[in-house]
Amino acid sequence: MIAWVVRRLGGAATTFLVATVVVFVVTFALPGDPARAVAGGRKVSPSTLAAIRARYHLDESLPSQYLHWLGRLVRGDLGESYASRRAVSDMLLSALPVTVILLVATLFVEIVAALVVGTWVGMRRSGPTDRTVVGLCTLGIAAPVFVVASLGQYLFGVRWGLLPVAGTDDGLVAYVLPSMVLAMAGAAFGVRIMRTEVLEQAHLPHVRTATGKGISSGQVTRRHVVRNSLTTIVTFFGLEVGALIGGSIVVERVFNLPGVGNVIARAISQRDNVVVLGFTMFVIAVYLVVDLLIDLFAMLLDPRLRAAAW
Amino acid sequence: MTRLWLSRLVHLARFRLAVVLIALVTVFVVAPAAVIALSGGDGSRTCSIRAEDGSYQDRLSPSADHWFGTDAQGCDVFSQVVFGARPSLLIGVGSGLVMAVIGTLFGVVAAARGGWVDSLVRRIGDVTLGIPFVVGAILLLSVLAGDQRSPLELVIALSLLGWPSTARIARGAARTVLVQPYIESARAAGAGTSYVIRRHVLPNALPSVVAYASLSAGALIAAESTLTYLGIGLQVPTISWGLMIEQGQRSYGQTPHLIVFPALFLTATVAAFVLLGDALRDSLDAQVEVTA
Repeated sequence: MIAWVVRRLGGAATTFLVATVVVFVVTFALPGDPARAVAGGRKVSPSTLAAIRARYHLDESLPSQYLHWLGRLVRGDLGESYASRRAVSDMLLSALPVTVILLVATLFVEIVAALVVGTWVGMRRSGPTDRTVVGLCTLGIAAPVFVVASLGQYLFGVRWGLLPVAGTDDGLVAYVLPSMVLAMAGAAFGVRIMRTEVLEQAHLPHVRTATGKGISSGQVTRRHVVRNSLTTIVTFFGLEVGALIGGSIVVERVFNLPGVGNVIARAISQRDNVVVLGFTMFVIAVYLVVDLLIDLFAMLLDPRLRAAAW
Repeated sequence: MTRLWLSRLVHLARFRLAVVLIALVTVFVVAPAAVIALSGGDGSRTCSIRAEDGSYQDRLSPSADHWFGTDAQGCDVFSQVVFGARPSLLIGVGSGLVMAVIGTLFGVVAAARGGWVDSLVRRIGDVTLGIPFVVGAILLLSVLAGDQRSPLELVIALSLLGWPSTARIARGAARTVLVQPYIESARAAGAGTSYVIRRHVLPNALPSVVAYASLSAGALIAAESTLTYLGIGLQVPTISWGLMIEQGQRSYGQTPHLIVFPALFLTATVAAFVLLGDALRDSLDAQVEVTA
């Protein structure tokens, strides 16, 4: 078990290191001159540009710039933004709560939907309810996030005036619509997967035995069907966290939430390379950690996986 | 093997498949042809701010003349929605195919060779999938295309970001085949690696890849329109659903038809590919775990 964790950590660290190289190269291949980004679009003399390049090591070769950046990263320093001169770590700390609230709310909606609706339709297979829910799920998967977001803004914001549609000035209420919108596709997938799992589990002999022993159907569902379906759904939600980090960028843009994704998108258009790098690498690190945690959690739920990992 | 797939397809999913395909054909082939025939021109842009009698033709609500109304430039929304299908379909199917080919190649080679080749392919896949999709797309598109973006650049960017998931599926399918006893006996009978791959591995891996490619074509169409909507995909004067929705959003309250119709067609198209993928998976008995 410990050997397995160490091996997985090593793998994740390698992936992270390779990712730093890839993202660094791509970021610095962006068209446009970062030195001019530092100057903020003002007309500046060639000597000033040269001074800026020297200060940010922009006059050095790409490998040397990379090593500088990596060296600072190891010491926990993500550098400072070209555009605003703020420390990237400060920017990260102020953007992070927005994205975390959004993601936690979204995951909550998705998990509740998958467990409740998925189990419910799974236990009543092939009736009209089942077909309706499956159809709705296809619709939820097919409708792109920005389409749902636009329609949501129009209906709940403009037409009925029920919910705020932009910014975070209204506190937590501001996250209701964005997280519902973001949760739609994942909830639809989750319901589908949970339904399939429950359908399969419900016919296994041990479930029949439990029912035959006279255990109430609620108990059977909870203890014998749902519990055995959890590994699959946990793995799905692990992957889903990764997908949500990508999807949250779209939602943050549409709803103008000052989260991590919004900052990355703005930084790319401003050629603010240090910010792009710092934020992207942070997101990748989170993704890798979540991936590891999910595997551990799956082992916690399923002793057979634990045995296999020894 | 091919014939077996075909018969399964016909028997098991005939109904669903037919519904899906009819919907696809109507949206993409019949409707554009009808628009061209009706408008009498090339049909790509039927716009006029002022009609012959001098009345303004912009932002009209849906009517018999303009089924889906007109936009701010007086362009007929119906013909735009229909012609907006072309870039989306081109990009979705194009990058879906490229992903399927590259992914199968890398996945099968990784499974067959094992060792460092396998680790390398998996590592590249991990890194690629670890980068959030939208961030990767923005970065790649800025580097590849700068400010001039055509469908080709979008296909390249989307395929580069998407192939690892196909490779994972192909690798998984190939590995289940490679450990079968009949592979061992084929090898003992003198079959070489390329023969085993062609005759045994590919035919068994392809159903999963084909089903996944259809699902991903839907996802890729959604991705293209999302990027376009965010201002980093296709650009005017290309007619595209993403652009139409973005422009329609500027005059929400007054002209909801500018958003509703392209949104409807976009969603229906993605749904068609998802359903097609589902039908293919069921009838080809492919093992595809559906994830976004």
